[in-house]
Amino acid sequence: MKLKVLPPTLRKNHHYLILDIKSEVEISIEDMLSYSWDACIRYWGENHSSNFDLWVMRHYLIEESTQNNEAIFNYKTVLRCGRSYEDDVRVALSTLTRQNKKRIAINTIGVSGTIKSGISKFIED
Amino acid sequence: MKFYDLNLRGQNYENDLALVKEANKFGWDYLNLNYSHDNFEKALEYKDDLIDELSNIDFNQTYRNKKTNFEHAELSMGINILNADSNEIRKIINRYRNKSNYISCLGGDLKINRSVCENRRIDVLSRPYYKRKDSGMNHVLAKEAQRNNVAIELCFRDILNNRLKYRARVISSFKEIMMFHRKFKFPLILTTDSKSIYHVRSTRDIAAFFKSIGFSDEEIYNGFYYYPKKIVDFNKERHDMIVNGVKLIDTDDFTDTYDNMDSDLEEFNESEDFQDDLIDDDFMDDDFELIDDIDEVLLDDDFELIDDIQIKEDEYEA
Repeated sequence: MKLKVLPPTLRKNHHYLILDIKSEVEISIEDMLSYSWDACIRYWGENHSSNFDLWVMRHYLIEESTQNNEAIFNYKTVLRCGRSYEDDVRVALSTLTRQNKKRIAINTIGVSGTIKSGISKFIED
Repeated sequence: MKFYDLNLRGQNYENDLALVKEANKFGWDYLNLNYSHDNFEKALEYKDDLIDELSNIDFNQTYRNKKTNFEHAELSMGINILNADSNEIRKIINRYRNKSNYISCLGGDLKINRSVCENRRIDVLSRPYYKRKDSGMNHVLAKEAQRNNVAIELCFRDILNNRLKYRARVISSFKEIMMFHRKFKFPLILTTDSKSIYHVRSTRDIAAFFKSIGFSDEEIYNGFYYYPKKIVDFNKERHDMIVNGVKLIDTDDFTDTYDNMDSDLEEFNESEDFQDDLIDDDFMDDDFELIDDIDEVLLDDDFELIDDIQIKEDEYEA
């Protein structure tokens, strides 16, 4: 049996981080979620990370380029996180530099109250 | 608030260009590329090309807030002395002090830490905790650094490159150096020490990181703007400094009043908000309307309350 949906007042409040990601290899939406959780748990520990409520909402490949014969994949991602924990999540993501022995850089370029406004302001522009 | 990064690791033209473009994109206002003393003069040859490339970047390609009057980052070049003993450091400084506006020296060795802190011709002691189990600083070095105006540099790349207990050790060193800074007031600067585009982080991310490990807003402001700008401004006039406290002035300068000689360096203001000139300030308009509504309701109530009090006071006086 499926659980009944909570009324709006009892639901958790969320904000959405817009991320700019650079990587040496292709990253899928599932990889992105596990990388985010790994980074948060490594930096903040299991207890504090339990507040973050992370989920990848959107994941777009923006550009594929090469520099010094090395491929660079540039993605933009909308990551859901708990309200008032935006700074904690962005700190944890910024400390991530290698995953599976491949270099990666995650920068937070914006915080938005809705997915729609986040995409229109930081991704479509 | 502006963000100065006084330590980007310069290598060659292609790499430096990519690095500088990336840092400019993520909101840095002043970039200083550091080279070893062997490569410094070679790098100066392509400095103008780098500045031209930077000035040609379209503003819309950056993540800067459109409200700011930002054009492009300023660029300079300096020397980072690596793996040298005290004698070599002295020789390098004698040779390059007049050619370079920025000289830093990698620390880690206690003798080097001490000799750099005692040398007022060096601007920055970089990473005194490098490859050490402690912070590499103590109260003696802190006093010397303060007396000789040598800044201590903390690098964000040490956080990126280390993991687990090594990263914890670096953070512990940062906190210990900050403790000395709070007591002895020596200049402390925060840098990224980026070597490739994978090390570049946005200004807000790095500010949030230092805040998360216990630095106050004022310390972050001073570390990214106040002390770096002081170093840059001081070095522009260094060749006019005859001895400590005495500066050679042109005759034209005597006509200036002191009002005209004010620096544009701003002190930290408590109302300073890092969001002012940074990239993300987007929340739903509905949220703001909701807050306005609450304010209006509160204001109405307040007025009623004040009216009641005034009526009671009138009655009392009568």
